[in-house]
Amino acid sequence: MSDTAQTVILWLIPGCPLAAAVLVGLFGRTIFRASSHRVVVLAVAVSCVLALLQLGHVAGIAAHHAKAEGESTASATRVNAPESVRDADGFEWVSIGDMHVEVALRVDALSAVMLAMVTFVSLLVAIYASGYMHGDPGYPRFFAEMALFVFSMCMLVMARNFVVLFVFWEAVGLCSYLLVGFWFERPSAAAAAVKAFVMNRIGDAAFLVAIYLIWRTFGSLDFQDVFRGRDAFLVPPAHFNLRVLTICLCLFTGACGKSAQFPLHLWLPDAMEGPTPVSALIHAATMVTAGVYLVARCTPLFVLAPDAQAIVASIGAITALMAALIALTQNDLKRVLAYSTISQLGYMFMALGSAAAGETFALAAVTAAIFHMFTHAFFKALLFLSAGNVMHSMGNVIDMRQFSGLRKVLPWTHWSFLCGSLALAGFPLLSGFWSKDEIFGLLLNATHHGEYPRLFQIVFAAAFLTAILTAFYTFRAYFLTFFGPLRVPAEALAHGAHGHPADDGHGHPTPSVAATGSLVFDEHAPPPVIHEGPRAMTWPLAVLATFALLIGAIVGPTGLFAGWVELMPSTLQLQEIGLQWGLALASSLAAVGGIAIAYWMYAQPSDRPAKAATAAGPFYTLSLNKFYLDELATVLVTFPVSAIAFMSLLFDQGVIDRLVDEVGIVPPAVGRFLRPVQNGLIQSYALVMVFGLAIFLTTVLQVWMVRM
Amino acid sequence: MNVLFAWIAENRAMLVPPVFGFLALYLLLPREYRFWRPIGIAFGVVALGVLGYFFSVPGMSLNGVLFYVFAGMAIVAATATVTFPNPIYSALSFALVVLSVSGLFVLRGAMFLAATTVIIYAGAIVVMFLFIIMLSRHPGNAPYDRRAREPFLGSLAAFLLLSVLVFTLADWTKSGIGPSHGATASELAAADPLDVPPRSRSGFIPIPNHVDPYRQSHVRVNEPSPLRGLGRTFFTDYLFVVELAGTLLLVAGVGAVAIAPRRVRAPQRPPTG
Amino acid sequence: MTSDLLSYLIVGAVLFALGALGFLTRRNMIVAFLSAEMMLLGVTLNLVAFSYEHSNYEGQAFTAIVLTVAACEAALALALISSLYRLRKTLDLSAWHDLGEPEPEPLVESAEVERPLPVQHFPRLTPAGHQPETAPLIQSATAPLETSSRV
Repeated sequence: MSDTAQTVILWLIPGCPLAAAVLVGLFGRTIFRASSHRVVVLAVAVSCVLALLQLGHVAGIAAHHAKAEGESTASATRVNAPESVRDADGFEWVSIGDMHVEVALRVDALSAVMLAMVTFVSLLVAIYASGYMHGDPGYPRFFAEMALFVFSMCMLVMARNFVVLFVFWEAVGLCSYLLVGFWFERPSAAAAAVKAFVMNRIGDAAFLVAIYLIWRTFGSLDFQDVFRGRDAFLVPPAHFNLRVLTICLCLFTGACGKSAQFPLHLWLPDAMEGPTPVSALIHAATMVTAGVYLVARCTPLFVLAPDAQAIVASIGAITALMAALIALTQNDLKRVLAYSTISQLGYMFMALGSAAAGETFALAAVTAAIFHMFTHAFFKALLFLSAGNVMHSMGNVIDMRQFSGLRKVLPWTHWSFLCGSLALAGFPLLSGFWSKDEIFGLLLNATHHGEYPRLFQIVFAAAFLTAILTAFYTFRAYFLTFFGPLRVPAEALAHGAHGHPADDGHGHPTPSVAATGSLVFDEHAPPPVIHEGPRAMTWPLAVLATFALLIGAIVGPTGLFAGWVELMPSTLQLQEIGLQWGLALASSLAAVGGIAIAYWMYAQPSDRPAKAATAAGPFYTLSLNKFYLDELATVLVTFPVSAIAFMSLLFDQGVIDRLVDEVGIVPPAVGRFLRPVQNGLIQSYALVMVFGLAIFLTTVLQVWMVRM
Repeated sequence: MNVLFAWIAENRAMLVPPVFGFLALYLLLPREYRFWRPIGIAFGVVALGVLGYFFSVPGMSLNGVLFYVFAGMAIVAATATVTFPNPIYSALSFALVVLSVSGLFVLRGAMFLAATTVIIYAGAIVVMFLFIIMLSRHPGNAPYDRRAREPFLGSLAAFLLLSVLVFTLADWTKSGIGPSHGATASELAAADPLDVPPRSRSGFIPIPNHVDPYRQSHVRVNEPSPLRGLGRTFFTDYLFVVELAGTLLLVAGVGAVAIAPRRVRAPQRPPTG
Repeated sequence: MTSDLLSYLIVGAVLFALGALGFLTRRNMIVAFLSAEMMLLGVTLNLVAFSYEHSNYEGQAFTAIVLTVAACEAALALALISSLYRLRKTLDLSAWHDLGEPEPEPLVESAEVERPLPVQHFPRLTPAGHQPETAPLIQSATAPLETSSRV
């Protein structure tokens, strides 16, 4: 492929969504209106096709390498295949002194995989959204913002240096803000959007520090300059370790902010205030994975600081376990899925951190993390879109206590949700199983090799426990929603067949929600108004379900995926970790066991959940209240900042404003003082004249006398 | 500035009349409480006395006595004009001032002017004022007559001015500094009678027959009387000015008629019934 | 310069100063104008004194002009004063301060206390041709009041 054609194609991948965003943004309300989705879907489809082309190119090269390797007996060391990298030059953006920042694209193996996933899921979600958001007054705005998001995400993934990556890192944060706060008239939505953006910013601050340190340490911000290994450093070896550790920790903090790891995870559950397609796209499949992408991309740096990797794994473990514990007791279906996302992201970071076992395991770790991200994108998006269907049919009620037994009236949704749940729980032979298993393998490996055996034992135990909990809470949600007697909330009937997303839809369980008594219906005569959404809302689910079930098996154990990712340009050696059957069996048992317990407790309405809750006592309360972390953040962060802001306000108003006002008082005061001189009385003026005359005469006489 | 202070210090005694005069008039100006008046009068007498002492006309000639009489009357009447609350008394005091000043004119050989002054001022102006006052009188003293405005500052300003003049004149008493066009008798005697100042062809003013010992007599017996001399001056040296004065009078007459308010017609009453 | 002249000059100066004082101080328009005329009088006295001193008629001529101007000025001033009086019904010079800045306190005392005049009873003269009224000097309780005979 010629250079020009390659450049054009690569620039088209982000360019089409950008054009769609601009068009729909400017003319959506006037020209496109209800057809806004066509423009965006078309653009994203083009991007998807081109991204798949790139992935195909990488896959071809990987296949070629595999064949070549199969003919030789050397172990797989087929890294650093430069022909898999495709470049597209752009323009020079910043050129100050030694710093040159170019806005250009590079698609290597890692980028290609991510691009394909991002654009594909975006396409499906955009199609779904055209049905979900139907009738909303902000329809064009939604699609414009979604297209903008796809553009930003593509640019982020294809960036060639840290600055461009950071710019689009912020851009996806912005799009998240815009989309979470889509129904901005709702104060809770607006607040959630601000919370998401602000918490992201905390991470971004650390990211900026990291960029600065990278600049100081390596003298360049380009990836290929930074990732050359030890000889890329500009600092003497004495400072080296501390410096790279700091850089890695700062980068990871940035990733925590974006990927909702402890303690910067508080925004993700609240971000469920946004429309469900937004939750599916941004907070399940794409934006939150940007953090994982960053850490994966910077693996050559992380391998130089095993301590950082250990911390990454630890935080991942803490997050995964904590999120799973919280998800056990949540009543809001979307909240359960949000915490599930946080938990799975923790898995990805655990995988990335397991490379602390040794430099040679880095690529395997990256492979496992990206693989899990890949599969997670599909089944989590599937779960969210199914929840969106439920919400749509239930008249924007998403509190699981208000409906049940929906499998009888929503068959498509039911089967989609079931596929997603099975994949998430890690049911054997489904996609989630393969990816989770690789992670377990890596973690177990890290307990043998590397410097932190004890730590990784704890991490592994946490991961395993989380797997059990994951299966449990996922199926708790499933059974609560789709099993039991058929109950629907009153809003489901009130909104009729086309439940338009209204402004006062429930996003989160609050005690003040009017407990409209759910209406229980006879099983054999369900009301005719509860039915599935339009076709646009069901076909994407089918596609996603297929992928959720099969993709893991197709690309996982066959080594295809690994073959693609390993082409990532780096100086790393590769050492594979094979599949361990004992581990596979154990994880299968864990999954099935969790499902069984959930079935026992929730499939039929009973008092077992209540008894379990009372038996758990304070732990139940802790879990239900999200471990009071939100309140803790309020006390530790919000109050001091508000206090400082308030004091600044006092200073500004009391001192500075008053100073200005005092200065402003002077002219009127002087005027008031001088005004009585002009009282309009001629006698007064004559008086002054006589005085002047007297003084004048005196002066003249004095001069005259002196002269005499 | 130091020169000024030195000069004031030299003529310290001349501070008395202005200061006492200031106090006198400040107390005499119309105010609510009338008991300051006697004190003011006392101060005024002192001021006048000192002034008279310093600027005395030497000798007990009739000239001198008449001067004291007229000058004293003028000053007292002027004070009365300024300080009487009742405007009618004020106007009448002004007439007295005019008469005194006319007397002083006579002493200085300006008989015509004396007569003219009396006629115009006391005869016409004061009478007109009295008419206006009577047409617009409040019963009793009007509130604006009972209290002067800014008595302190006004007195201060006026007496500051006066003290400058008094000090200057006092200085000239002593040092005789100043342009002195007055020729001494010998000079005048030596001068050619026909060598008159170019402006005045009509001769000198004769002095009265009472010989002033301080003044050399240089009367020319063939000089016309003062009145005739003045008339000649008016129609020879100052002809244009006189005509101009006439025009001015005409214009003023027209202007007064134009400015004066029209006679207000009685409002038409609607027919009753 | 002789002290004779100085004496006259002093008198002129005093008249001028007093005139200035009266103009600055008095609120009655008429009296203020009279004081202005007094200033002119002082100046004319000075002129005449100098005229005598220099033994020529210049001062006197100028004085005549001054007199003329004073007469014109008086005529016009009185016309103006009549107009002003008609507008504000007062001869107070302080009433005319329209061009001045607004004052917090009024210059013209609107609430000035008018001291009540003592009620004066003037004796009335009987008109010519009528019988004079005779009222008893002392009102006795018994004597009937004689009615006046009005013709």
